[in-house]
Amino acid sequence: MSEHTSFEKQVEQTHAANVLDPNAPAVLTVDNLRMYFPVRSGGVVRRRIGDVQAVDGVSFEVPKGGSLGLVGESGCGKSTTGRLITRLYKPTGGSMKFGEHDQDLATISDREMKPLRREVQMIFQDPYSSLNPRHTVGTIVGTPLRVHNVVPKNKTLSRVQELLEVVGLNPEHYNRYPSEFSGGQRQRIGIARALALQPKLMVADEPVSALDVSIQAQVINLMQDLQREFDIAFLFIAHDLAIVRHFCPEVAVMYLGKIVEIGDRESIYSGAHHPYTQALLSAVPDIKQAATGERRERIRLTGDVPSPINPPSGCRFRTRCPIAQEICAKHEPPLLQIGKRHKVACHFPGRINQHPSTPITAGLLGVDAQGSPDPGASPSGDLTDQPGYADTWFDLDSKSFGRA
Amino acid sequence: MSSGLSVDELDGPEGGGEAERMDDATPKTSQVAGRSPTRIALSRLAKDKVAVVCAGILLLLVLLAVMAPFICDWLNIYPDQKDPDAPTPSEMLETGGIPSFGPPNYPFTWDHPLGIEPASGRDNLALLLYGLRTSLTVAVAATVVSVVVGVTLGLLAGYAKGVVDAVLSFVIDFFLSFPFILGALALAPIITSRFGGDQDTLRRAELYSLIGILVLFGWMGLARLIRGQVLSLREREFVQAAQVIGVPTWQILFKELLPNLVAPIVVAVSLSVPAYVAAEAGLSYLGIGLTESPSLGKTVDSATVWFQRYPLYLWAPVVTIMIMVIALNLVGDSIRDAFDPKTRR
Repeated sequence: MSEHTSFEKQVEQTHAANVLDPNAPAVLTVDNLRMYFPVRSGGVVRRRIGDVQAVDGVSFEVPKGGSLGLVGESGCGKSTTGRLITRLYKPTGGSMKFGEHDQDLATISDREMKPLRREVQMIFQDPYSSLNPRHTVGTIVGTPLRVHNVVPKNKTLSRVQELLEVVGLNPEHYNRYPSEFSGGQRQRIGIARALALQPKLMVADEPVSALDVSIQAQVINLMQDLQREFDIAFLFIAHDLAIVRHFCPEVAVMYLGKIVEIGDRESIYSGAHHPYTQALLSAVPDIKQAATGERRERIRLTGDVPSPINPPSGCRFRTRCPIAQEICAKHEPPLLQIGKRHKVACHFPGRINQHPSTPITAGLLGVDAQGSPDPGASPSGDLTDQPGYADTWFDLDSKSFGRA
Repeated sequence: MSSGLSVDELDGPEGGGEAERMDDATPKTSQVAGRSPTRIALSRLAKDKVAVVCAGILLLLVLLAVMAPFICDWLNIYPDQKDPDAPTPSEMLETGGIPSFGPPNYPFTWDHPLGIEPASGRDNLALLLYGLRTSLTVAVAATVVSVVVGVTLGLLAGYAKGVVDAVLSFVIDFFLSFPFILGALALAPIITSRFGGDQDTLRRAELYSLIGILVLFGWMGLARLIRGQVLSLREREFVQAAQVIGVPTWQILFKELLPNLVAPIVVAVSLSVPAYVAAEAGLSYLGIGLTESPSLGKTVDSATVWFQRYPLYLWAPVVTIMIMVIALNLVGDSIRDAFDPKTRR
């Protein structure tokens, strides 16, 4: 590899937003992934009294060399999803097909997982706790090399120095301790460690949330450079919508363990159809608007996120949804494809203030507008949620499946 | 605290752009070695006057204990009469078991600086040196074994969670609630009767069983401490990072977690050595520790009845134990302070 020259070249390069390659094959296909954490009673016999449904039926694809953003409130299950993919937890159900051989990360044993750990790596949120304070930088970055015997023992140090240079750190600093670095530098060390195994998929769990804004840009640019150079696919977990917009051509919005809206950048940021996505987007502070003094309409969500131990019936968002109706309590909205690369899980999908007054999903589910069973209608068969996008989708204007 | 790094060297690359960082990388050839938290603690310890003085005293005591045979040879004194060169009790004692040289009845003599033991005629200095030797051997051996046992079980219990943790925690609580003196009292006669025949075997059996008893009732505190620390450490992201990399579990335990537990372990060690010294002396004083080997506690026991007529006989071992335990405790306190940046005096 010729990191040195290419890195210098890339420094001069501007960092435009990542673009979507619609024809890239999926490197990771997640289908109906579920993670329930048992809740046990106190006392001597600890009975299982319920489950925290942290992730409940999530499906998506991460394209090769691309990046999917996963956004949502705290506690919506996005970090859990990342930890499931790196198998820090064993999922309750579902599948995660990875790589060319479609190995299912959800069911393979820890022993079979070990070679795959080279391919799936993770960048952690908190650079102050993700580096062992008792190890030198050389040990930290060298650990993956040693564990997987990537390079001969006597070459480890030179490879570590190479990696430090790739992430823009002084390679001479390999024998320093993490406490001697700033937050941004520490995050670079974390990235170098994840990069050491040359993974195909990188799970970035809020990689810049703990950094201050000027450093965020540097780290994001670094990750973009690395993505381009090493063709790494990113699952980018964040709650900063602006950074996700820059980094991810595709975005999935999660709420209480489920994906409520998923689509390419355009569909989400300028054509959001789910009231939750719209509320999230309207909460982003806007500098331009502050300068003009113009007031923008803001959707304020009231109340707390419901408990994932006992989520609301039907649509999980209905307790805080401004447009919820009776059907929302009775039936869970299917994640319906409404555009070429756009899916939304809502009975009343539409742009802000243009939500339809009758549930468009009623006919598909075989119920009437109030959600009661309708003997005249028959449920549509093709509502099962598949990862990825189909060639045909439900057209909101004609209210039927078809091609645009 | 001067860490050997200048501030601008740390912040420099971060403040500037990436181009500047590249400049920074090339001309720099001098290597600045990082300082581990342990080394920072050691340098802090070196500045603590109490710690330095106490460490000096301890070093002296350890040297005395290690060199005991040479010192005794050089002074021509003997801890027991088995040695063919040793003077017989009749040469050393008058009627009634009173020493014929030195205190209490005669003036100080360099032949026996601390006098002669009444009734047996052995030299008190030799007894003290060999007692010190026994004391430190027992305390160090018991500490090492209980640290190994405590740390291993604590790491396992904290990291394994679930059934393993529940079982280990129960065992820890069980031994913590078991009365130590009662256990020692029950075991001592069993060992004496089992190995009673041969004096030499009995001596070794006593030594091992004493260490064994001290370990049996001494490992739980550290195990519990380590378990608690591991429970909080295992949730830190660097442990998860190691799991994501695929580091084997034993390496996570001993290479990732253990280095972060150095401070509590060092503190526990430095405070448990004096506790074991005192426990050994106490048990020997009660007659359930060592009966065959020289021991400070045993000397204290036999000296109490002579205190009125021969105070030096009692003072020598008592003052030695006191100095050793106080020095060990103060060093332990200083080590704990040195490892904890929040409690700087």
